[in-house]
Amino acid sequence: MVSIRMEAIGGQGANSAGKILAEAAVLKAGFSGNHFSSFGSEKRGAPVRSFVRFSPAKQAIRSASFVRYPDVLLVFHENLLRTHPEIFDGVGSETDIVVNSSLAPGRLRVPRGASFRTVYTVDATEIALKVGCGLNAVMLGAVAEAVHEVDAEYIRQTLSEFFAKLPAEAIARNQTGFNEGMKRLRSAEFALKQASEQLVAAALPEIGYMNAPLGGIIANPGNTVLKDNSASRKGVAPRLNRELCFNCGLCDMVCPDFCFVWDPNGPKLQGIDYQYCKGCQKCVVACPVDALTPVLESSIPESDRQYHVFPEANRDAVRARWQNADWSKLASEISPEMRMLTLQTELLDHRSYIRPDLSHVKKPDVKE
Amino acid sequence: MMSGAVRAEQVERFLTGNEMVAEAAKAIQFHFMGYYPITPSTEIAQLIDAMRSRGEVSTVLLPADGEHGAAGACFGATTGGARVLNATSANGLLYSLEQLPVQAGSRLPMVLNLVTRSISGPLDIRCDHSDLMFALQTGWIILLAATPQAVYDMNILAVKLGEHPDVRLPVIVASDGFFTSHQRQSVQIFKNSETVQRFLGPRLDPVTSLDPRHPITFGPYMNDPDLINNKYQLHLAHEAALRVFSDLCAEFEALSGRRYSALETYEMDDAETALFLLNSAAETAKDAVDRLRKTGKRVGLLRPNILRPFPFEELKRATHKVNSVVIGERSDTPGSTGGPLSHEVKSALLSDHHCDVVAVSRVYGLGGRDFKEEDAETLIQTGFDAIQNPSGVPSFGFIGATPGTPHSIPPSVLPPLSRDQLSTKLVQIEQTPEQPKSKVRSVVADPSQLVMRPKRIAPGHGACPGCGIFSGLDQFFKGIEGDVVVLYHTGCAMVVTTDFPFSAHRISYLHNLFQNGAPTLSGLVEVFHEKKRRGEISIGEDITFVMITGDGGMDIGMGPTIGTALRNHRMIILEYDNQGYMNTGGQLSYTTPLGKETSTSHVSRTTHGKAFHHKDTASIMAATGIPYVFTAIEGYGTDLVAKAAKAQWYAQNSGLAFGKILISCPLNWSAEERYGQEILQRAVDSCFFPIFEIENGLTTLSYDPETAGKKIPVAKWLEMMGRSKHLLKTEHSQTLQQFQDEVDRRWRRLRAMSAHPDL
Repeated sequence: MVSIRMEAIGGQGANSAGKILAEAAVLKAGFSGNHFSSFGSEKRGAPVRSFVRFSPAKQAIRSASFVRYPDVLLVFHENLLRTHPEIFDGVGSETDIVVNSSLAPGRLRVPRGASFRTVYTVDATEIALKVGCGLNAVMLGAVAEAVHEVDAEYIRQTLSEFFAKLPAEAIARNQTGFNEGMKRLRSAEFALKQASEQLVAAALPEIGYMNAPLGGIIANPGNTVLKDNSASRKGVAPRLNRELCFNCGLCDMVCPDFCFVWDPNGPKLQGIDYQYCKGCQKCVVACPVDALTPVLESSIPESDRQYHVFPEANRDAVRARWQNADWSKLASEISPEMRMLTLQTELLDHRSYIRPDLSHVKKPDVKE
Repeated sequence: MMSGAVRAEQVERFLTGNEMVAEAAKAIQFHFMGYYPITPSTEIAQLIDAMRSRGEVSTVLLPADGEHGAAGACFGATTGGARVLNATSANGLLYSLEQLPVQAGSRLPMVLNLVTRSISGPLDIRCDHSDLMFALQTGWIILLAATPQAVYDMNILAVKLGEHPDVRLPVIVASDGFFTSHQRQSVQIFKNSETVQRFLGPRLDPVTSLDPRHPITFGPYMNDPDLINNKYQLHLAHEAALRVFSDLCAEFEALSGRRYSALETYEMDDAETALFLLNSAAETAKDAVDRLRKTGKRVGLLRPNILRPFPFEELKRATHKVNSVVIGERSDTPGSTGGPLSHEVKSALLSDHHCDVVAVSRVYGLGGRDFKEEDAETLIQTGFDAIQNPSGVPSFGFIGATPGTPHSIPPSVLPPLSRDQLSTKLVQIEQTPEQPKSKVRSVVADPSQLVMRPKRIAPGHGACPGCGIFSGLDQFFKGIEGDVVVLYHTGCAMVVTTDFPFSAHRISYLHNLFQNGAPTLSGLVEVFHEKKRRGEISIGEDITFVMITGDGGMDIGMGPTIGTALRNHRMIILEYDNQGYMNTGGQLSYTTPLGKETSTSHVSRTTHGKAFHHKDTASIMAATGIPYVFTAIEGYGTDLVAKAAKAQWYAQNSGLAFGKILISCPLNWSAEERYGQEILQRAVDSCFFPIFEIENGLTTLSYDPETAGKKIPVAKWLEMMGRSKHLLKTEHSQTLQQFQDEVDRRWRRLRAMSAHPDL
């Protein structure tokens, strides 16, 4: 049996890619197989996992669980390696990984101690932009090249049939993207010295029943600032030309992701926080003077990427401060709300319940 | 010859559980389906609507205003002697719960597909069986479908079982959310729907409400001594159902070659321990059983296909020789050391006078937590341990709950916003005694100054690129001074800002399910004022209370919202209208314009998109007599900021303020993300979405495109969205004209009201 896990962001087409691959294996190659995806509510930008299993054997595949130990791991955006390290769960020296990246396979940043069989990369974002096809068409081409069990022709055919309702040009572009994905797949045997035979096991969640606050509350206002939305972009982002900007504020009015960085001392636009920008370009349309233009993300220089809406919320810094710190000293940083709502009894502090100052309270004027 | 049934011709397909419900529905040709979208069952109505648009089914689809309404619509339809379908999940089932015993107690057969999902709260959209357990008491028959194939088969069996003269009961078909509903497998379906039609025969009802020559009273007022007899009849029907089910399974096997029984026994012949599991987890566990069997462990598996009536006798027979049983439950009944399943299995074991069987319960897989082969092995091992050392193995426990990293409580990231930061004086309110229709006017700084107000929502939320909700909400909050407490209805804005353990809200936030946000917030508002009166909150404190809802929440929650408005609490309700149920994948809402294509209003040569006109929520709310109603769009200068400031003034001084803002949804409008503002502007210029205020009952247009010479036909707006541009084609010209006429009619009426001193 071949087990494939696809890791992506909503909108990149991993669910469709999984369907297409499984249909090719089952309906064209005559294998037994199944497919399903795991996603949140129907959003672009949320993590999506797509699972495919197939086998030339006739026995039906019964397992309805996630693919924990993939033979092939398909990663639809290189940034996921950084932002979602848990995608490596269950990966080991028998796993091939295929990553959408412009880097050579040997230069990918992978978790320390992880090992793989073969590492593949394909610059699917660039190909998809250039060809004008779906990212998933390119990724399917890449997986067709990397996985030999299912004839690439079957996958190619299923891709066309799946999108049969699209105009003929769009179908043709998908075919081009698929072929480019096959052709431009780069591979390298994985031979890092520190590689171990161990499977990667994703860390258990840091928050569990001992330290999760009761009632499911989140006593940490605004902590989404630690998130990184950059994998939601499709290769294009706005760039600010400060020479042209006259600080009218219209970009700030239309931005859904609050990524404009203003001088705290006065309304002067400094830059864009690319940690949050999802590349929608509403600001580009709103800007009255062309101070904001859409550019290829890869062309944005490092000097433009140094602006942060919340410099104090640097994810790595917060994490490091927490992990390396002396617990007893840090206890004061925990909000009282968190302390009274944990099951860790040594932290329980009922004195911190919010008690109103009742010294001046008048008796309720209720007749008894 | 035996029953005379001949194996019917079938075709192989590769389909999901939800797709198999739709395939079964196509073969059954239900008269009617009432539904309300909820993940993960929503696809069922979508798929049947798509079949309708292709002319494959003629089932009437009724998009109800909530699951309670959907269940009511189905109840009404069944009194007319129709084959009726419904599909729901989780809180959808709970919201319709009171209707379920009505359906069963009235002995009116229908089919409800329950695609199981965890019930709130906290809100979780993934699979467990906490919803299913609430259905056990309703009097419905419950069939279980472990695989996509079983989903198809059980739907067909459900119709025939429910309609059987000895049974006459509604039937739930329960399959696992995502694990089955979204899992694609090789399946077989009957080549000709006549096969299914012949198997079922026509629906026969002894009486219906549609036969005036034979008048019937459905639903009497019945006290003692009669009700107990009605319930005894229900009990007898359930007794009969088990026998009928087994007969039908034999008949169905002859037709399909697929065998079902009340209780599936897998490798039970010489098993020492047995695992009892429902649905998809049992399929996964079979792999574990096979693997352990190869190592010589004598283990078997029990999986019921029917849960109501519960197969007691079958279970007794199957467990006769085992030494232990492990009951896996995908839900918990807190405080009961095992849910209904545990207690029912244990009572079957006890009634066998075979008390040396050790039974242990383990809760697993809540809220979609994956159940892997290795988890099944853990449960099986527990069974063997319990035989070895019965007193050493706890009779109840959880698997898969994790403690977290000790002492690791993430430190606060951002400090709370201070009152000084929030009191910017960027917007101010002036009294306007000279104005005939308005008491106050807001004075707003220009956008370049407004950027200095700290945002009450932090970046890093998970909305789609180009989502209009957050630019809209931020513009609104730019107009609000001081402290704010918000309540968000279930919907996109809620889901993408509060993904545990992260919250994008820098101010106090509550969620409640979207039937009920307005009453929830009104309770808090009243407590705030009472605590202030008692001196428990200092008199200087002021908080503005704002409820945020989508247009979906204004459908399902309309009644409670009107009630809240009639009570005139000092709060603001803000509706962000993106013209559909976008959080569940773009189904029609009541504000969706006529003719627009959504995932439940498909467009074809014979179907024309949404079939009824958009809802005028602002007028409905104005009719409650609240002091302030406004409409606005994101991006129209500082209009929305100014209206927010006025809403705050009214909420502080007069009572409830309601605002409705149109915002863009590039994903479900099939529109380019960057053109959000332009699309909204055209919605206003076409007079589809006029922007106006109603203050103390007096209407004032904020902008008159006709006077400004900018009025455009609605087609100029519709052409910008992939989901509505079909209306420009000739085959939909009649729909377009109807829509244009309605928009013009409402516009003329509004304009006249604006011009009139008393309206």
